[in-house]
Amino acid sequence: MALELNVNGVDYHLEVNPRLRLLDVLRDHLGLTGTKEGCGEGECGACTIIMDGVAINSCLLLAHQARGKKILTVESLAQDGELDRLQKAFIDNGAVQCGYCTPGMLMSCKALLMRNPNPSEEEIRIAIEGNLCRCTGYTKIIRAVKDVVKK
Amino acid sequence: MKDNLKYVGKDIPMHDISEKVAGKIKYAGDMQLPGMLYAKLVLSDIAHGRIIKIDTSKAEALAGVVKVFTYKNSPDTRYNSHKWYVGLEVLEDEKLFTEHVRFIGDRVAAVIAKDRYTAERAAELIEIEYEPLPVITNPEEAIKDKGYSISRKEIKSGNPEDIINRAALVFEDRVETPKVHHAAMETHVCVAAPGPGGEITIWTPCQVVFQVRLIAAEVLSMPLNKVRVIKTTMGGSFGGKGQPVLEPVCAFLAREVDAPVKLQLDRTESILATRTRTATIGTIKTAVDQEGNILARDIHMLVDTGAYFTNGDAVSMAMGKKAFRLYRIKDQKYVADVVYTNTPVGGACRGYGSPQIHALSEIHMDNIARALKMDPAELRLKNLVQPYDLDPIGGPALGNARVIDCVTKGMEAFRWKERWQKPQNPGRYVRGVGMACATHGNGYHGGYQDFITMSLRMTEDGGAYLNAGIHDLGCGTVTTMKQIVAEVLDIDVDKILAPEADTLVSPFDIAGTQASRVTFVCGGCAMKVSEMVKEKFIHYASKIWACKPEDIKMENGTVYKDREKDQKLTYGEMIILIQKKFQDDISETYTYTSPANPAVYAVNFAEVEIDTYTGLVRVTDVLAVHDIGKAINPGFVEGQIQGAIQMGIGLALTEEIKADRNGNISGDRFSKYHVINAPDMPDVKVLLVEEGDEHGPFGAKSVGEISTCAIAPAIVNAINAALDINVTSLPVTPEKILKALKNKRERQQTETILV
Amino acid sequence: MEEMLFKAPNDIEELVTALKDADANTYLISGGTDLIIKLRKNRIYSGTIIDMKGIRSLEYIREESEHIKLGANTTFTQIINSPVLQQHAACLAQAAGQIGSTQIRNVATVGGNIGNAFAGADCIPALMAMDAQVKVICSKGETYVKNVADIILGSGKNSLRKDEAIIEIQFPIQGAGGRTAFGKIGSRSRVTIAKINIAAFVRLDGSKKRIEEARIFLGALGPRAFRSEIVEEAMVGRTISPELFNSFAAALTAQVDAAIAGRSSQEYKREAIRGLADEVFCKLFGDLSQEVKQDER
Repeated sequence: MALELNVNGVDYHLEVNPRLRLLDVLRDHLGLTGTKEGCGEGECGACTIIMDGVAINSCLLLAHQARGKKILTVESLAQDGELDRLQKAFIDNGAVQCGYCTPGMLMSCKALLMRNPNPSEEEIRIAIEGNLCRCTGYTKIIRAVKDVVKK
Repeated sequence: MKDNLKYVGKDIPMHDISEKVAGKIKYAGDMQLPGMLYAKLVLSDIAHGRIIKIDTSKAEALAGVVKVFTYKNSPDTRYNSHKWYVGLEVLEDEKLFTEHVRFIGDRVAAVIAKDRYTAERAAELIEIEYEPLPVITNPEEAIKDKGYSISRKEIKSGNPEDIINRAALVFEDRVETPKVHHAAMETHVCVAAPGPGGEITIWTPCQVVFQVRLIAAEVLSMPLNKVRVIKTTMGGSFGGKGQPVLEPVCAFLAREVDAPVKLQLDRTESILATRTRTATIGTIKTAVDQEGNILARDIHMLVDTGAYFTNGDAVSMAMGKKAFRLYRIKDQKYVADVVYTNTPVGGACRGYGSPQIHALSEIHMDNIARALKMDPAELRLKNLVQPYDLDPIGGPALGNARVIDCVTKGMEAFRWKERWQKPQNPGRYVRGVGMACATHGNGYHGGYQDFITMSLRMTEDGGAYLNAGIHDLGCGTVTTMKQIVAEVLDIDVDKILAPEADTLVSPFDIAGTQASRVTFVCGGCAMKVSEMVKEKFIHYASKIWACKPEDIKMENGTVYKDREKDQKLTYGEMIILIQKKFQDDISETYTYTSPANPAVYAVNFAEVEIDTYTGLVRVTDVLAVHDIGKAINPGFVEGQIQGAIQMGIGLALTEEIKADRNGNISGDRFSKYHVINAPDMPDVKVLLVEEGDEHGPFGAKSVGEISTCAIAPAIVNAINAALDINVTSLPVTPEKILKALKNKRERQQTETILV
Repeated sequence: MEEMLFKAPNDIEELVTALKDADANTYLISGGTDLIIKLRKNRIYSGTIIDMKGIRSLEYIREESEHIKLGANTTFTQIINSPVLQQHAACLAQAAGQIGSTQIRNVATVGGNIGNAFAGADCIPALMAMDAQVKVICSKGETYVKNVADIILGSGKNSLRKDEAIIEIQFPIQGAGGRTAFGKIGSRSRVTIAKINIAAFVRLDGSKKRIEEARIFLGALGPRAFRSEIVEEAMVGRTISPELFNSFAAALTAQVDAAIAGRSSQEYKREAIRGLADEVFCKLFGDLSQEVKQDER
């Protein structure tokens, strides 16, 4: 079934089985493998992307549900080869270990900052409550977001 | 210890962090190979039985299905995925696909199809009929059954029985620890591809490439040289990807269909069908004097290895040995009984038995302190080991063991005395503090072979290439190695290339990223080989400049003769000169055998807030104090500890792969298996005691595993102390807390009536 | 080749048309966050999905003739952020705030939550406590209104025919003296499925001392959320006081005992519900705590 999808500012005309999730289409059809699958039930947030300005789980959304929406994946954060300040803050604060949760974390935090440039620590924690990380204990991730806020 | 360090001790970012934040780094699951097929496993949905009938015809008939494999068309070879080097003797009981299923999650079949949706669909079409067999999931029932009770291990020093029999004060506890899922965010995944000469290449996020090669070669009856294993970027392991689970399966499938095959598990499959933290039921008996000095101790561990043996013996021994290296106890006995159960398979999991033994010993220590009306920190201080103590059972010396420093510094930083003595608020929310200590090792020295070969070459442009079979599990191993090389050679970290393990090109390493050996042993090798290269470089430079080697100075990528700083050359320029003049390469290859295995220590202080109405617990403050030797990269160390605390809070409070009597598993997905998320995670404060160890590179010791060993008992102790209860079965769920509070109320009422 | 059909109506008219062909294998979704898991769990490979989310006209929260009306596509995030709901339906805003994670609340909708009829759904008892009704449209384009409590039949079961869709949720604005609250216990503080949840509506008399009316709904204690007469009886006609709290908590425990007698979870839930009693009581009467405390003395 035909699907028009706008991902990272690019319009795609695809043929997609309606049973497929947005996550599958991003990864398998568009080769945007930055978005990860960790649980397939919206619990871990590794698949988080931004749709029309809010963070969502791409594993819980059929690709066809995303028609006409503006989708942003982790690959969109760096512009013209320059990392986004949130990405830089993740580097500066050592907020990454294995990196598997990182794209989802970044997109949850980015969505928060897009809506609320000055979030409290509690708001940061709630923004990433649906993003699990087994490596960092979240401490440095929260620190990185605070760092962006400070600057 | 070396002063004025330039690269070691600095927060240098992880080597691949830019690619990771950009979403560009490729994990095995992101790989695409031309003509790649997709595999899906079929797992047993009963806990014990024999396959009477397996009908794959519907699956095979589905368009896009390439082939289906079951026990009928796969090797019958028994193997043990725990075997990490060729000479290791192990009980071999696992097969690629079984006709005798032993737990829910046992591998029964695999489907290969042109895409993963077809593979999944086909897997659902396989019809299996089982003859059910009796199920045992409770280890205390298993130990009574000959078929399930497999192994007994004993360690003893002195004569604890006599002392305990004669002692006036003997305390006893029983502590249960659950099966836990590693919960790496990347589920298990593997890609394998056949080559034109009959060789197989395996790409896998693994911990030991040479182990993967060994197991795959054994199962497929292939020579080692025909199997190539390439370690891919690791999306988290924590021991879970230590034993090869998917690799032999995937390699077999790829060979049989003569095409690249990708096999990735979903979360439920990863929880059920890979490895878990070994569950234990421990009993402990300790004789003490009135002042709290430990006189003797007797420990029994019932070790539930699950449906296959894997590392049942090794993990039992590992936890037993730790019992002799935390407190000064001359007379002590440790016995472990290893049993099978019809539950998911035990394996390596961060701490390798240490979290289990320390849950037992540390909850017990607090109960002793309570009985003696002592401060539990003071009780520990009376008994803890001291620097350079020897191991009473003849294991490696403890080295510069600084656990007492950790306790005293931690007590001060945490304001322990004040917070410990603070009276309890009688309201709904009760706060309390607890602490616990733990020890772990630095590699295999004293237990198993422990050596690694590395090659280091200085390049013509002043860089360096470290060729070593290292495995970065996301902890920063690559950068850590680079920092060590950089420090010795005084070159920028970015000028060093240190690719990860690939059996085709990496020199041999006996054990990979296991046993907390990487910084201590592999780092030791990196330092040694760097020093050798440096010596060679200086040797030639001194010949070229006709001076004594001592007069050659290497500084920030340049070399000069002492007092002639204006005539300096870059390393690259000097190397080109050396090549011209001596036709030699500034490279060395060295096999480093670990000289020691000192102990590392963690002392964790935790504050909890318990909702006495609902039994929910929040950990509100954690201080982790570590005897780390020397932190090569303090930021990585801090990150390791913070993550390990998250894992330990889960062990203490929420995480459990629980089997009912029929072997059905609750907690087989993240909506039912709660790992701690950001709102429930405290800020973890880290305090490092960096007194150094003479055998570690720049004094460094391990941190990755020890960091998760003390936190669970610290939390449990805080809960028990705050509420005056004694819950000793982990995880301490709200249900257990409310039950204990109810029992306490009823007990108090009875006492009141009796009064 | 098995394939799903996907229909994406953009307005009510198109929805009605789409509903005309609806059969047992038609899946109506709004946010759709539960569908994918269901497709996989139940091994569903064919059928028709009708995605209502494209109907932008069903995304609203408005006050209208002493009622509050929510379009079925209103997300939980929109509910949380709505000043109107915070003012007039605190229990609903509180419930929405405790559903899933940020990502899920950004997608999942109130209409979907009702249609899905999950036994532990947080919004459902809150809507019931608000006396909410849903407006349903069928394939003939006709609409009818039904109480939420009558729509939910059991765990995963609703009373809708296959050719019917929820398009609106409405409830009366509670006049003077009306107060509401929601509370939940899960297995961690956030992103957790309710072990028990509770939504309460009470109306106080003019002096703000006596409870004139109460509607208490409990969820996750059976196949569907239900109204608790036991608890309401313990409250109506009573004065706000520490004694009232004790009766409220005791009644909740009695209600748990009645609802799940003999179940393994009873032992925990009958005790733990005291935590909800405390939370909800505070949310309902916290501003009157001065008086409560005075009574205590």
